[in-house]
Amino acid sequence: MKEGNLPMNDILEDDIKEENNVDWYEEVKEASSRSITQKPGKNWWLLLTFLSLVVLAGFGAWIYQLKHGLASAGYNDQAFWAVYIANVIAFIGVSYGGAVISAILRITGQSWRAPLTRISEGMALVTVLIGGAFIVPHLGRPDRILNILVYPNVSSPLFWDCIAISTYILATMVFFYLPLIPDMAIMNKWLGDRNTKAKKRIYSVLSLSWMGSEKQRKLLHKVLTIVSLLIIPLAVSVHSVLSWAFALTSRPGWMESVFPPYFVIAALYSGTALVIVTVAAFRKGYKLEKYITNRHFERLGYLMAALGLVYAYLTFADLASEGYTGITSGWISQTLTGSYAIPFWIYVFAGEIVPILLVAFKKTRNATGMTVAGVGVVISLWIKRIVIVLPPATQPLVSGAWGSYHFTWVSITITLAGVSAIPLMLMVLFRFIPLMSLDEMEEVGPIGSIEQISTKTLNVIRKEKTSKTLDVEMKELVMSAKDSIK
Amino acid sequence: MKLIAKYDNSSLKRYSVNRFTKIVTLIFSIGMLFVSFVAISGVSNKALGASSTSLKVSLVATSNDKLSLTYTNLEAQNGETINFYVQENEFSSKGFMQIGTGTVIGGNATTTYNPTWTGYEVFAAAPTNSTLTSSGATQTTFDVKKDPSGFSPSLYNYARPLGGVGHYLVSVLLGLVAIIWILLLGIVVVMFIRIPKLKEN
Repeated sequence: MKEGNLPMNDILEDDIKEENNVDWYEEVKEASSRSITQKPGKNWWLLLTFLSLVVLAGFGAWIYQLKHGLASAGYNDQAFWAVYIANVIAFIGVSYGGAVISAILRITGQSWRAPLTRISEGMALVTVLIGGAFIVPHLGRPDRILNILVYPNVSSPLFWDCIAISTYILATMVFFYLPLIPDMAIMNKWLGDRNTKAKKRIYSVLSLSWMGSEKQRKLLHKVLTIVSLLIIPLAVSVHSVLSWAFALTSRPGWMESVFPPYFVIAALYSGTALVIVTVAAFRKGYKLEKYITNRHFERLGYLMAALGLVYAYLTFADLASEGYTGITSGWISQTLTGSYAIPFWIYVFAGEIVPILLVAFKKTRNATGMTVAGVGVVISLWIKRIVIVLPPATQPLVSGAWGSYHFTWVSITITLAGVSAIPLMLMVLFRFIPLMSLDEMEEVGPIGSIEQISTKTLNVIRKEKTSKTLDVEMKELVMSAKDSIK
Repeated sequence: MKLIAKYDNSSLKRYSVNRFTKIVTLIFSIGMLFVSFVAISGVSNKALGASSTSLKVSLVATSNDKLSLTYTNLEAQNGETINFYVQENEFSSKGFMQIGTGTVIGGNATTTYNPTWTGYEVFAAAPTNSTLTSSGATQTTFDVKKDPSGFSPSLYNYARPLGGVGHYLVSVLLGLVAIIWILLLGIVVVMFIRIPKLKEN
């Protein structure tokens, strides 16, 4: 496989040549369907069991919390918002990153996105569902959730949070499903007799009788562009509204004009990091190194580092403006040198310095280096959310006595259950759907799936492919006609 | 002698009757004393609980939304700490949550409380280190009319910019959300209808 920047003409010629190489595409189909066709190994079952047990323990802890109240999760009068709202922001944030990165790469025609989009869109779908679910333990009383809609307070950001998150969940589901339509048809045909009856039925229903005709492709391309364009402002609005749940209160440390972009960039930053980690895990687990190369990690690393620098700047802007006036800056002292100093400086070290250094040095700018950076960013950005929530929440407005929050086994177990639910749901999800977008892989070809190719080249390939698909269909029609005559 | 003996006998008889009467009277008296003591102590305890230990809830005159809780126990010593509680009902389990403390001065201890629920609330008070069922504890019910939050925007009298467009803005935003939902669901419906038809082309 070629790496590095190649002249466009060479790529065009080589790509079309290789595009005609049926073996490569057959290999792609085989590699993408490994999660479906291969019998799960011992490690897969062990991991599945372990993750399921953690999730079950989380449900148990939640039931305990229902019985004993939010105090069992460490909440009190002064720490009235804590770990669960931080989880909501962190989980929905990473989802936003996955969806927006996929949408931006799609809109800007980045051909190298092809092997990554399915995993990042799957990650986006799973994390938004888990993030949305964290609202339930956060509210404490699930029987009151419906009241948000039955007795809406339209002047409350919480009502708009509910509207924005539910709209974003719908958009993520549609965005995940649309590129699956051709893949379902391809998998159904390719798996043939290896497929179970139930799976065959599901695939044929979801594929909507996809044949890959030019008109079908045009329609799919059009609606995917619309949804990609739609999901970006939607995701921005979701995180802005989430930030306003804090920024529209009269509490020092939360009432910040910088909060909406601060939250949006944090979401993109942590989302890119989790895309890297998830892609690396599936690449390793299903041996996809041939299709997801170091070049992919390098590009995602650049993106992550750029977002990390913007986030560092916004963090500085947030601390500097309020810290300078010093009027209500008790939370800043708590963050920089007080009770929350250790988590804050962990974020600075593991979430900013280390990832940027790993991207900066050529030696570490590879799959391993970027995965280490990604893990650091994901964990430290979660810690950063805790630091955003707790110091202002516990800052005294009347008495002068700082409140405190202590993690309890209940809050830790429920949080770990949410974390475990991500790989668990992804493992189960990819038992039914291919790991890479087969249609896109076929469209961009072996070089396009690694290096960027121009839209012009891509159009030539598309034409080639459409005529090839039609040829195949015609041949099939002739064969079936012959069979019926016989 | 006989007389004397008679006298003695009679005196003995009288003596023996008196002695018997005295013993019976003594036993009866002791018994009565015991019964009375028990009865009197019970009555006095009851009387103490009913009259000298009480909890009074009233609105704070200056604030009109905060509540003042006053615990009265004439037997309580000055400086003793009293805990105040409100009954919480969460998921079918009831329990008392501490809402404040007060120090006894002249038999009274007071605290103020910002109620967070309206309706009939059960309040309780008891000395520190004693339970709500102990003799010094007391309960009462009060109908809370207001449940103010900690923050009241009405305190700030500045007119909000574009305050009048609120209703229209809400309608516009909800309309926008409805369009997005229709668009997203419409796309799925269009794909379900159009894709199978386009294969024929």
